[in-house]
Amino acid sequence: MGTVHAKQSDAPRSEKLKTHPNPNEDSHHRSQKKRVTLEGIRARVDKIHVDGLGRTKDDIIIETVRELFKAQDFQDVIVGAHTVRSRLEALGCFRNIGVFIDTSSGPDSTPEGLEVTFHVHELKRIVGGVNTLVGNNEGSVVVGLRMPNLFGRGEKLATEYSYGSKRTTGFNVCLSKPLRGKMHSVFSTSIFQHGSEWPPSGYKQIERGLLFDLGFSSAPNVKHNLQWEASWRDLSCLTRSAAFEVREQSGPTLKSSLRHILCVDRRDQPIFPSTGAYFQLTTEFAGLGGNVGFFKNDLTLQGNWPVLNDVVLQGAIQAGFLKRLTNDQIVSICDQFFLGGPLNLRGFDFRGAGPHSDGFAVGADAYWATAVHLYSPLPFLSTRGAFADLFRTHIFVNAGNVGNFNLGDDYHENWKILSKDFRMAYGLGLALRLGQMARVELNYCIPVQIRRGDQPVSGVQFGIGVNFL
Amino acid sequence: MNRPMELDIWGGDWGLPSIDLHCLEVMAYAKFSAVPLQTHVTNNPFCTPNGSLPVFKHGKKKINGFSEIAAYLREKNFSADFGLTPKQCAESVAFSHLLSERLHPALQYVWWVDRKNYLELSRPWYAKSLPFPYNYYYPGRYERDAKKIMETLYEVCWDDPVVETGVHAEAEKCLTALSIRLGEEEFFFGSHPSTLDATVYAYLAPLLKAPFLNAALQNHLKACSNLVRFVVRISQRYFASTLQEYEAHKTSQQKPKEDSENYFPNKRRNQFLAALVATVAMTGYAFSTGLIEVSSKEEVKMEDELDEQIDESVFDHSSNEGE
Amino acid sequence: MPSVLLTESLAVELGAREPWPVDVKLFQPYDVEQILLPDNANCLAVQAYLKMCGLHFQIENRSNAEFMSPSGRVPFIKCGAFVVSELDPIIAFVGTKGVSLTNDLDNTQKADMRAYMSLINTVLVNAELYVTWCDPTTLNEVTKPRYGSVFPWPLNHIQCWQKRTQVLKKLSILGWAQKSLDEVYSEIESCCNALSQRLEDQKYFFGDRPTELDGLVFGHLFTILTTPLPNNRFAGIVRGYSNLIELCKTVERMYFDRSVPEPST
Repeated sequence: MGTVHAKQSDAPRSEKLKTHPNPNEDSHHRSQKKRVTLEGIRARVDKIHVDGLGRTKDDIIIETVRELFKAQDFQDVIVGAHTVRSRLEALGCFRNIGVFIDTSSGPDSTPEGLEVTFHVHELKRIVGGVNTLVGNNEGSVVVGLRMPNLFGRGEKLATEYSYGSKRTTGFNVCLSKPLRGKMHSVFSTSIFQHGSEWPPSGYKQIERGLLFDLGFSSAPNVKHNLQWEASWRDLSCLTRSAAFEVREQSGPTLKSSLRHILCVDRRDQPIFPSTGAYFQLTTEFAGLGGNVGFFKNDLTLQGNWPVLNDVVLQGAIQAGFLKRLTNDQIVSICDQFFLGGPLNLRGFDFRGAGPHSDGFAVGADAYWATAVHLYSPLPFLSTRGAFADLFRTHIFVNAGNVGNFNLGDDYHENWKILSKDFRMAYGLGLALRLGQMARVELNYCIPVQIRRGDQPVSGVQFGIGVNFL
Repeated sequence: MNRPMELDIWGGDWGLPSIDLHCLEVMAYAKFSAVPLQTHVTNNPFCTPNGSLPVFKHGKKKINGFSEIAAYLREKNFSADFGLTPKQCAESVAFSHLLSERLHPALQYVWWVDRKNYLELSRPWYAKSLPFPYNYYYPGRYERDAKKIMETLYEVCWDDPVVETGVHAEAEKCLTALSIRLGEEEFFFGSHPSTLDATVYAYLAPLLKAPFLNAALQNHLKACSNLVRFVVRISQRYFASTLQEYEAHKTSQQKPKEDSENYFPNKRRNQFLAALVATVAMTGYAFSTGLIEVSSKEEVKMEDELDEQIDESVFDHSSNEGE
Repeated sequence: MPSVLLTESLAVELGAREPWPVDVKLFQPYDVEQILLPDNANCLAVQAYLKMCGLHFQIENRSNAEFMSPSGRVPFIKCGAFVVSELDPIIAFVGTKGVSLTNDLDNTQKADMRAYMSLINTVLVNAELYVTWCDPTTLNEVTKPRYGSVFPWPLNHIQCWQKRTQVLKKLSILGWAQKSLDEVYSEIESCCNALSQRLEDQKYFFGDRPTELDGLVFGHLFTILTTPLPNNRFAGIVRGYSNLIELCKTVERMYFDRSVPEPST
């Protein structure tokens, strides 16, 4: 009897395994060229070894691997081993997890018994790094320090401190702890301070706060985050020439809010998806203490459909709505919605659409934006290499509107209000994927619907970011 | 008490008995009120009650600060202000506050915040005068203090251009006001010097005499000719000996300089030889250790690193914007 | 103080003298429950000055006036597109409109006036800050509740602490934080004495017509006299100078006749 060595990298999805048992492992197992259905082979897990544990507590490991004992046949064992492996990975305590399955031996062994061994390497107690960061007209040095698996149950303390060339300091200290249970919930607490500058609106803000977050998933791919945030925002004018409407907003405010983020991601990959849909709804209620009060909803919806080979049609919509609660509670400019820029409404300057005062964007209570893209790989590149996969060309049409809409119950009337004075631009361009997170876009844009006060960009526009519309 | 009155001070230079505002103020005041004061150049603010000079000593009494010293002297029946009317006293108080509000920050700026002056004049001067090891501490501390003053007064960082222009504009206005007030009179209140004259002299004399590299404010002062004459008048009448010593020293310094140049007849040739030897030695060393090769490699390396950094930064930027 | 520059550059920019607009607004904190002694004095001084110039303006109370001001200090005026804060820059700005109270004075008198204004700015202003932020009784009984009144908990404590640190830093570099309360009172005494000596028994400091010095003196002394504080010695000192009191009464009668725009007594 040989051993089955679960593939270490690129773990196959469990569903796939069920329907198409990996012929490779199969043949290895029986050393025959014949197909064998693994479901038919009865198996029982006698023992599970976890090698390489140091400070990780036993109880959390036992809980994680226990499910594997329920396996009835060999198929279950392999699938279960993979699940356990990915759950061990999710604990964030280990790197390089290897799985070995062997027949069991020794006095207590049963005839169909197997022994599963996990080889783990615990992460170091302290992991740190220093990197540089350029953004918001400022360069800064970021010193990061992580202490994974702090108390042996997957707790993690991450601290980050940044010091900018304009003497701004920011920090973030986050302590997170995975909770037991089926929901894979993680509880985290962070204390933060960060400064940001918004030249299109003429203000800068320093935000200091406290955030409690409970993340859990109610179904596969359905993630929830329940948060309470208290943040002290200090707004001030960026220049002397800032619009008076912006100047009026300066001063400190205290926001205490409850937030729920629902995220359903069924796309095949986050940056250049070829199929699947994505949905995110953020609901925030501010006004539990503090002097800021509003009820805010923000929605993102994206769908991808493969049209021809490698040509993908993507449709996306974003919308947000903010409702003021009482007159004595403040809604600051930093709580409001802005539209424009390469990330949402291409063909307009950053925050370049919507209400402006003396050339500074002042934001509004509601917005919507929608975009249709047709993506295709680089033309004239027949070889599908890793390099070509970094690029896509696209043509797009995007439209949107932002303003303080006065909506009623009449849908026709509402539609009229929302679509009145909308902005639109179309164009084509090139997108580049940076890692698995961010992307860069270089577009040629032609704005077609512009309103007074807008700052359109006709011609080449460059964008870099994480969430593109 | 028949014990002598003593004053520990910062040393003088450029024809001034002391280069420090506060020392000069007390010294001038003492001269004006005919106090028999012995001055000691200590150049060391460390062992003083308040950590600053001047320190006035009379017997066991040690006093720090101009207004306290003036009050003490008045008690001992020494004052420069006996001849003033109450209204003139009021004016004297008002003008001394004008100086401390408008001119004091500017002097701090010129001495300590202005890069050129600090590096070429103030720091070397204080570093030379202070005894070891204080010479490593005080100049830096004075610089930090001055920068703190700028930041507190203007609520922006000290290197903001707003500070420099603001400080200078205020000081120039103040100088103009003083110049107008003085007019063509000998002293501020007639023909006898008073407290105000001591204060004004203390503020203006170092500003006028110190060889600043960045001399914007100094030039403005030089343009107010009556103030310049005022400073020269006091220097000549009350600190004549210091002035003469300085003049004598200056001329005597210039002479040996000429001598020393003549002393080495082959100066140029020697300089050339020295430079040649140094160059040959350095180049030889560079070749022998392969320094040149290494440096070219490093350049390439640097570029790689730079590329990496750029990649990193681009990535970080993106995650920033995506919020 | 940096705003001096702004107004100076504006003076060039404006060139052609536009008339004083009708919608000029003066922004200051809420005077009933929020404003503190030093801010109130400065606001009142500016109001007095503008009224002496015969310029029309409206007072707007904003809880965040201090943060809106370009220099971080109140009051400030909004005149068309221009935002100018504090007395000196406002005087310079008003000067660009061709309005001035000192046209009749000769240069020596103007220099004198500058000196007395400096006296107030260095002595009275710092003394007010000292009493407001350094005297423990005043700090706890008056300053903290009033300054924090516009912020929700716990921001009221944080902001108070922040403001106090800032004020203490300023006072310490100016050499005031080290003084004792008695020393501060003696400084006030000598300042009032100097002012009183200068005023003698004239109607205003420079004869029959008011100048910005009168506005500034009125702003500070009137506020000191009318602001209720746990320790009344500050007002007591000022009350000892009858000609200064007379000046305050004259200015109040002439320019704030019907409505005194602040909580008197």
